[in-house]
Amino acid sequence: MIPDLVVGLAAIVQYAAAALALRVPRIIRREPAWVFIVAVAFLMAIRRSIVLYRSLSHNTAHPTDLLGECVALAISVLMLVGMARLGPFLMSIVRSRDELRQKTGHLRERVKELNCLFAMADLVSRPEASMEEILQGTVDLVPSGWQYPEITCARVQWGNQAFDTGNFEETPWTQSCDLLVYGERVGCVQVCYLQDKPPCDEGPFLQEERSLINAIAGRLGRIIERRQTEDDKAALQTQLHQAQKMEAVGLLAGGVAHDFNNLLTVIRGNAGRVRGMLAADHKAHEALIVLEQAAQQAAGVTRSLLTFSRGLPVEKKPLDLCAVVEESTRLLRRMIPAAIELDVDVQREPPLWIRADSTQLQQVVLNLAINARDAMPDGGTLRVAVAPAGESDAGELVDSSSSAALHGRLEVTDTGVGVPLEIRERIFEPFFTTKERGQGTGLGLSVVHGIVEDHGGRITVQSQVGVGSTFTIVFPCVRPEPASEEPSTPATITPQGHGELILLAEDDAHTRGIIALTLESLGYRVLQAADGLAVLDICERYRQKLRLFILDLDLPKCSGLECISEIRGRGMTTPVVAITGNVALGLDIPDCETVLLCKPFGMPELASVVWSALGGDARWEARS
Amino acid sequence: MKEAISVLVVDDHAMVRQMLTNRLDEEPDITVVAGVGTADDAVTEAVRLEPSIVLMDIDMPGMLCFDAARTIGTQCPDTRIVFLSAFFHDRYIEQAMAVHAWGYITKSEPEDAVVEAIRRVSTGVAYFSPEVQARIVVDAQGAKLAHPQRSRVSTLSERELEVLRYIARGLTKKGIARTMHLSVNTVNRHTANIMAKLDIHDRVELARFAIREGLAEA
Repeated sequence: MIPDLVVGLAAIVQYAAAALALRVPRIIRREPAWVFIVAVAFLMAIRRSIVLYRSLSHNTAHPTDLLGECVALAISVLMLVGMARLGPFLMSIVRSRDELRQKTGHLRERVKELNCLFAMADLVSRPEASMEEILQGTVDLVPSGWQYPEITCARVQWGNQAFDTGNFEETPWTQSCDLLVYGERVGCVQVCYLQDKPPCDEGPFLQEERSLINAIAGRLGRIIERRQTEDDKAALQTQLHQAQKMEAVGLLAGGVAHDFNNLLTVIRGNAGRVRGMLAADHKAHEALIVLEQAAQQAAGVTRSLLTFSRGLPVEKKPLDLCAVVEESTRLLRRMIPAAIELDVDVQREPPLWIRADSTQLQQVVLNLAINARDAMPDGGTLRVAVAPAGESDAGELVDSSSSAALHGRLEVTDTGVGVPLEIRERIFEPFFTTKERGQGTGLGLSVVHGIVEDHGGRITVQSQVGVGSTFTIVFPCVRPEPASEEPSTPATITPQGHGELILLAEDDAHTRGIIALTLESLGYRVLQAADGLAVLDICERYRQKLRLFILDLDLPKCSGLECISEIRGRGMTTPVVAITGNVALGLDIPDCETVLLCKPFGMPELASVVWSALGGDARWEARS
Repeated sequence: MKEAISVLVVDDHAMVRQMLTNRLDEEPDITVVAGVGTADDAVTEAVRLEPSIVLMDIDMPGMLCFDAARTIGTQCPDTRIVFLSAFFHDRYIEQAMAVHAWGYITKSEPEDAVVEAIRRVSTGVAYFSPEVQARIVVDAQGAKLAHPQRSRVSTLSERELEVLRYIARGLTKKGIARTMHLSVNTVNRHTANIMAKLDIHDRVELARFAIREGLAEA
């Protein structure tokens, strides 16, 4: 009985051990060696089952060996314990192996990524490489950085340009990253698998490949930024050199023009003098007139030169760009032949007001139009257009102080011969001309350039030989000036006298001289006195003829107030304009025939006061 | 017989000077007492000859014309200055008014305008164009141009203005120091002040600024 119990127990333990052994292959994933171990465990359990069966069926041919069965039971228990402990141990081994495999895979991808980035850095470091070469080289490198290079294709889009691996086609298995330059999207980098592959972290792609495409896009963005900065710097340097050259030429031209102007003054002056000395019918008259005219024309050339060099004073004020251009085009119609069609396109909304000198602005339009006319000897179309400038046009303005929100664009386009690229940079230089000798001074465009720069604007030219040229000028706009606004200073003094005699008394000779000039210009006759005693003396001598006194109250020897009292004391009711800088003095004015004019005052104001004091209002009313 | 109006002609261009002298000498009531080519000589001759009128070109080498006019005004109170310029420029007129000039004629005006101006100024009447007259304001200090350009130039002292004019003429600091009888350090200090006040930190830009403001001619 006891041996049967031992055999049965050993069989159960061995089955349990075999069951545990069965679990192990799942852990070690179909490892063939383990099949043998499981088989041995099961065979041993079956062996124990057979022994137990025989014992229970009292088969005496095979008596149960108690000692042997006890040993078998002990072995079974040990097997069970061993199997129970072997599972976790194997699990840890398998886990380590998987981790190792994964890390090796990561490392391999990392090496690929680094190789790709290194090759890209190598490409970029070549100073002679153009941006296009860099982008194409990068695209060619991309497949080597991915898991399946043989089925990987790539494309980089940059603006309207695209660079790809040649076999590129968009598939459902695509990885993409935006190309950012200064934070703005300018394109993208795309990597596609041409065949489906087992899913990984991001579709068929690995996490490392996402990092790699991001790194490539980021690096390309920075390269483009750097190249653009370098290009901008180079362009600015070219502009600076050009500006410096123009500045130097401008200064030189200004200096030459100044000396020339003096010489022309001498020529003109002496020609006039000689003409004055000759009899009216002298034969030399005509020649002298021609000489004077030539000098006059030459003075026009020096004037152009001085305008170019900004040596001439200009009067800038807010102007409606459209109105000035329309006015200029009216003049143009007379200057261009019938074979040239004039197309004027002026956009009036929004209003484009610029701060400019109207004469100079007209000169700009006329010079550009004349240039266009000369570029179309066989006829064509001359287009003059005004419109608000786009942001890109306005952005070209060099003048950083120009903070205008709105910019006006003036375009003069012709369908003429065009300007070859090699001379395009020189066309704004003074005396540079492609016209035949005697047909052009070479100052037209340089004057335009000088004027535009002086107005805070910028001029650019686009041209194609045989097709035509477009000159684009961009001006910063100012606030429109209300049409009703009066000019701050009147241009002339309007009220006029009719030879009335005025006694002007002022101790400062210079001020007196200037007031006298104004009064004489207005048509009055003026007697001057430097002090109070002179006033009384002249008053006595011209008593009957004097129509007005203009007296400074602060006169030496006899003050203005004393003079007025004396004049009134002599029975004269002649009106007096009393000038003073001290209003308190004016409070003592003795009569209603005396008006007070307080300093500071302008000449127009003086003219009005004098006119009124002389009864101008009444005179005007009587006349009208 | 009425005494002739004595005139000192000042112009750095000998031919212009000669032409003016010849033209004025044709007038019986005008006598050209001397013709000089620099503002320094103008002061010397004006003090020596005390002419009624000094007819002076604006752009003069050496001591500048406005400074010369101020000196002449101080030393010869009876001498009146009439300026002659190729241009009608606010800044020039403003400066001319500041030194109590009696007239301002542009070279584009007919020669007779010079004769007319001299005659009028000699009788105590100034000679300015109607446009200038309309802008003259009389205040307690005398006559000046209304609405003068409120440019950054107004922040400069007289001395700094003079240094700026010399810079615009392309003189080196040593040259300026020699001309103005100053030390190079003082010129450096003035230049630094000018640059700070005008916020221009480049000599070429300073020259451009001076030309634009009419402190020197291109």
